[in-house]
Amino acid sequence: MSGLAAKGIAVRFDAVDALKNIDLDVPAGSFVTLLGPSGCGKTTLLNVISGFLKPTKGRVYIDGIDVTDTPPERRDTALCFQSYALFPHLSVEENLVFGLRQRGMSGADRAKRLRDVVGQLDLGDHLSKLPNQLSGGQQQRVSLGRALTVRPSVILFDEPLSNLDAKLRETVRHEIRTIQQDFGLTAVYVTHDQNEALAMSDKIFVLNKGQLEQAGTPQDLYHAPRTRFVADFVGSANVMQARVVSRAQANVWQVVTPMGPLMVQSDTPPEADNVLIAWRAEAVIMGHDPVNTVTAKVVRRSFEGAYTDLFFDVEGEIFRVQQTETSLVAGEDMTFSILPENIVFLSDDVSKVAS
Amino acid sequence: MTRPSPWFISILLLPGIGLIVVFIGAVIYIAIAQSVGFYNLTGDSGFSMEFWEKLIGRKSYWTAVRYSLFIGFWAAVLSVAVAYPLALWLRKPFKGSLTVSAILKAPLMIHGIVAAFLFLNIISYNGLVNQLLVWTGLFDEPHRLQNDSGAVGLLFLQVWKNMPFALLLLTGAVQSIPQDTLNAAQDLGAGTIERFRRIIAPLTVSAMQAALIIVFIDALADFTFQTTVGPTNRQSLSQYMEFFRGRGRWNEAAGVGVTLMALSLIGAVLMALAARLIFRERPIARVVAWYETRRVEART
Repeated sequence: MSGLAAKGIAVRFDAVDALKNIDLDVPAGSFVTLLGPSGCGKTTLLNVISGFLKPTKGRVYIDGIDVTDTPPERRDTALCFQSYALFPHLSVEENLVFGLRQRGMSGADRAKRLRDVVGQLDLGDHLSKLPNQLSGGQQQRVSLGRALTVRPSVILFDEPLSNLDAKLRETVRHEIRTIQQDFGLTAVYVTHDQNEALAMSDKIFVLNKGQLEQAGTPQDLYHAPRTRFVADFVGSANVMQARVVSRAQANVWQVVTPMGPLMVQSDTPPEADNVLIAWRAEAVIMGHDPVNTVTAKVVRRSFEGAYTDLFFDVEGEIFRVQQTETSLVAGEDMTFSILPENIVFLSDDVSKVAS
Repeated sequence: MTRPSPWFISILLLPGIGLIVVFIGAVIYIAIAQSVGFYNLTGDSGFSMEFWEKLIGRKSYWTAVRYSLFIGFWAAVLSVAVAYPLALWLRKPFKGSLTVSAILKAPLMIHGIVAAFLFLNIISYNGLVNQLLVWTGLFDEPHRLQNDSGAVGLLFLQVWKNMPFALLLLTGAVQSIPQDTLNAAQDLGAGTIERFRRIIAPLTVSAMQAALIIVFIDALADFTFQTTVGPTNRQSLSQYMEFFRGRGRWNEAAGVGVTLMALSLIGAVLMALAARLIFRERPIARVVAWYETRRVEART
């Protein structure tokens, strides 16, 4: 078994469960993201993987070898820190070869590795500079280069882009993904930014309150969220109460919602008669359709550049529809329909979803 | 806001710094002048190198110089060496860390002479240490431990008294190193010693230099500990100075005083330079790296 695996990881700080029975499987060469809000336990899990924190329960395996009791300096991982954590007294070159020196690599091999990484990250003009003479983006590249030079089995990223401005963040995230693919690295990336997670990952693990809410490809998570939290956190779906009235076909159910009756097409049956359903704000067709047509009054309009948010009120709760082009303004009625396959049933039982 | 002129700033600083400069300057001036025959308390004053010639012609003078340097150097190095692990241990607060920190700094509150007498009693012929060693069977009978000729007791006391100074300086310095920086080094494969050598020591070298200088100067000129628990067969420079003063030979005493001041200055500078060179500049590592680069270039 190559790559990274974590089995039944639990971390308890005094009376607080920071992580509850987390299973993680990262195949070799894949890019996995731990996504969740602040305090959900994603950095704690990263610290368990890197060895800075010993789990209360569970084991960590790298390339099939149990490394749970191996200290960080002897684990074949490299961590890119949110703060970059460059050594302020060492030049860029010395920072880059620090890990190689610790591994006792010869001067010639060090020079070759250095050349490779410097070329890849375009750091040639900065080798003699100290970290404080570099911009944030350059420091981030040095931090990435320092991790890359040691060619670890697993490279870990702890919100590495959060200190960069929006434009640079987008550039660097593409660079990271390209380098990960070029070097064939197994990567675990921690972020609270759903856009980063969706754009970069092969697989996303969504964490909430120390628990794994759902794991899947970015497409799975976006189009088929299984819990209210995932639906809301990844892409802000419209979530509403529904009562299952009947089963129209093998995988089609009729439900009653505050918006009126709707048809839901789902491979997963509802867990109860009263359930939560979710649908994406952009997954609607304006105008009449044979099924699931809704008419509502626009209460607010918000132009977001690439699209416009149209908000409407149903029994005191605000929902949202997204349109790339619309002339509708507040106070006007809009009619739209939701395809039954674009509505999903949500589950209350996180453990069932995660498993 | 406009920046006040340097003259205005100087005038404001004059009452404080000016007084310090005048007092220190006066002491240095008097000591140097007296060592070359001026301000003679018991005879004619006038320039003469006679006192210096007598002083440096004495074997006992050079023995005192060597002995004081030995005590100053080892007291400084050992105090810093003991303070570093403690500072690192106390870096992150834990339950009881405040109490531990306060206890470690307690020697700062105890006067040297009190500590010296306490120490003398503990290691005396019938003291606690001898009783313990006899009780454990390590000694057959009590041994004379006080005023040992190797100055081990004296160095112990010097470290006990001076380590808290070093600890105060180093604690602040090691606390200023971000945890991420240390974690990054560990993550890249650096063990405890390498993390200290490559990251902690270079980043705290200024505090290390300050600690070495303060302890070195203090221990070099020590009189209290030396006369109480120091070896009886050796004299420190301060003892030597007192020896001359007691006999009314003020010019030679001044010569020893000037020697102390010069050694303090030179020794402090050398220790600070050595600390910086070893932990920050790493001259040997740089030469090796340069050689390796040239070798790789030549090969490619």
